[in-house]
Amino acid sequence: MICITGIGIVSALGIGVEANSSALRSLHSGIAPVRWLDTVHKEMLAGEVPASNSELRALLNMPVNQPTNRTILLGKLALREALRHAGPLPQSARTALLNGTTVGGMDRSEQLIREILAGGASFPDAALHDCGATTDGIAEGEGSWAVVTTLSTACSSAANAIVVGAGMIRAGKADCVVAGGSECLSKFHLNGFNSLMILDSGRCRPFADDRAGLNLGEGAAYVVLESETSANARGAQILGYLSGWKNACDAFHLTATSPDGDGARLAMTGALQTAGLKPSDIDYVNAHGTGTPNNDATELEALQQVFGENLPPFASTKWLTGHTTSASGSIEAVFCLLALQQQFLPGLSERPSRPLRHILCNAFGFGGNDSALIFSSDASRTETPVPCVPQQKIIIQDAVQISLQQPFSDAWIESPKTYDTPYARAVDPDFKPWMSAGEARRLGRMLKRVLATTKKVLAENHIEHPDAIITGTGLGSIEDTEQILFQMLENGETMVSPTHFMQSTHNTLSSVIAIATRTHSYNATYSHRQLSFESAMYDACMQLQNAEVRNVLLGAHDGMTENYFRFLRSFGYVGQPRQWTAGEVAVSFLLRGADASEAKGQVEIAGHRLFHRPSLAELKQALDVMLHDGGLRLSDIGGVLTGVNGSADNDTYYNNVCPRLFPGMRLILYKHLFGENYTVSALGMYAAFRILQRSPLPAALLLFNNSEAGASLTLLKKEL
Amino acid sequence: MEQLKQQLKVQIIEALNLEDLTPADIADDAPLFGEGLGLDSIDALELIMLMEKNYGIKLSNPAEGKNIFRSVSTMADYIDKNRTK
Repeated sequence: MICITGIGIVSALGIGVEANSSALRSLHSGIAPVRWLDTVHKEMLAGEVPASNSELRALLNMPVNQPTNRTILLGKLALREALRHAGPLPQSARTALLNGTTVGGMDRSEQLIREILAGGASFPDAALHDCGATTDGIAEGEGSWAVVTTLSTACSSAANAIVVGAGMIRAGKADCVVAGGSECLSKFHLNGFNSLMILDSGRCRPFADDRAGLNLGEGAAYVVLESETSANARGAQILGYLSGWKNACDAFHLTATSPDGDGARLAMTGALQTAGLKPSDIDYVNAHGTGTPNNDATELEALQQVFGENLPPFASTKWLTGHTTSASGSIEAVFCLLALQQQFLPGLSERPSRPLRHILCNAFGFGGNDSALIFSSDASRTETPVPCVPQQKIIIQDAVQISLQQPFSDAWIESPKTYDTPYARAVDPDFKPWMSAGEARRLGRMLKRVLATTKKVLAENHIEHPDAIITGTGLGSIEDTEQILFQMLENGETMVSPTHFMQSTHNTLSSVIAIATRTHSYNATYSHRQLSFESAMYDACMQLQNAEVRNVLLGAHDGMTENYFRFLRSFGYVGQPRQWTAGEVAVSFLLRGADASEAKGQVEIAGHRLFHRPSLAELKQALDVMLHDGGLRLSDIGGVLTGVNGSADNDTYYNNVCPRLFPGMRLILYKHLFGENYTVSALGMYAAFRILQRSPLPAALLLFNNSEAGASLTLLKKEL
Repeated sequence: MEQLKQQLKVQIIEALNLEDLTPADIADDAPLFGEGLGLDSIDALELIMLMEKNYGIKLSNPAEGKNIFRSVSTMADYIDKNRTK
């Protein structure tokens, strides 16, 4: 049972649950001509949060000189409210923050880009550009977290954060998960959506016959998910229950929905299945309902397939808030919980004809990342089946890489390539065997690497459709993102390419794989700084351990262009004195669940932990548990692969911590071979995997990775 | 008109990254969408942008593109009648 014990929300309807609840009940739309965003398109209608950045700072008591962005400001307000609402948790509670965002700090980056490319100065706000830095900014000072990470699946990001949070509580990995999303309006995506010609110049009219597109919005919302044990132990007020959830993929096109609504249907039926409910149990559907001709037609088709003749009342609230993109899943989750408590139909003027007990809530995204949630007012009939095969072993079946070293090869072991330039691009293979001309024509080098590594690892292991596709990326397809930024620099806010915009969302990485392999199963993309790959691996391991899936295609992808190098250098991430070359990462792992006998002779992920601002004692304790569970002593470990990269700022941490955490142990470096980038630790794991595969004896290696606010420990071992 | 069609073919290949094609591969009256070059809704948007950028033609409703982008001939025809540059 997953209890909901707190909610917090900021949207065009107002700041806080009270303001949102009253505007929602009186159907008072927050959509108006653009006011706060610094755009030439002031005539456009949008659902902006009714406060300037300085007003938001004041509400948060944030110093005026503290680096931030609007996504952080909105997120902090909603998070504070949700935590206050949930009440104090015991010190011992394991609490996670799962945030969904795609825009991250783009609102500041698009303002600073000209100065950054001109070079010279340091721009602290630019360090908050990526999704993970934005999430860490939201988390900072707001609580004590065991895990903090970021899902980026475009417009279903917040819903997928709730899906993963539910999985963590069910698997006993957390007592409490604060899940949701935050997204501010940016010129980048306002012009991007405009290039797709799906913005209505008037007020959006979801499901109306004459609908002509969507209005964008912004906001943030979080729900506090808590295990029944934890909620009961502290006597928490339970606002409702999350009874069903499902992440599915349309696997059809990056922006268009499939005519039959496959992804939408699979998400809804999957959520019903998780909840153990029948379609007739659903009393209201909070539809995704953006107002575009395409979405609403497909969603209605899918609703009719799921509910047949007995379609319950359904509506979209996006005509009130605008489409709040990555935050929409949790903003609307809060609306559903309010509806259950106060018994009204969000977005409709009619009264419910029967008591509302179960509400289905849809959130769909670009790339066909379609998810559905079910919220219930009572605990009866919402027994979630508990997985019965825990503690399965996880083996790395295979892996394929493209990097600064020879692609598809392990020549780096005997004759590594060396670099002395500040940045370098990957050594690309011939892509032609791995994709048709049609598949390849829009893809930059980075997205081609995603397809090539994926298709190769799947083909060599005779897998057509993996059970889950999970990818980590620091910045997504930067080749597309930089094109949009440059087009706006050169031409102002006109002529933004729809192709580049469509491919600039982080989840494009997992989505192009799903589309190319027609895979409708679980699909997620994580973007959390240097822990992007580790976060994806965390999800993969959780699903394999619970035996929810048999195999996972786990990827890590990041690129490096000259301009992005300059951008990242502006806040000290790369290009620092004595720092090794910045590089590019493309690696696809195939992970598989196995029992003890199958695991023999294979490289096993024997332990994997994420941390947020860990103390040395916490790391030490986790390491002891990990070694104990893996049946190993520290002296059995052959070495530790660390994120040392040559620059003093980065390496001081490792130099301080490693001798105390791993006394007397050999440190193995890998960034001098593969270069620095957000997900290069995946190439560290690749290297460890190949070293262990070649070992004639039982062996084990540790991986220790630090990011600015988090860290991870991974234990790989091979038994004979 | 012939010259416009030739120019359009070059621009289409570039805008849609049809790297494997040459202008000679695109017949004037061959359908661009559907069974033709395998183009989709995003390509239609790129073609709308192409017309705006090169010929100063602004379409506000993507549905209008359907008839205009039937073939290179229909597109050239429309551009010839409506161009502002």
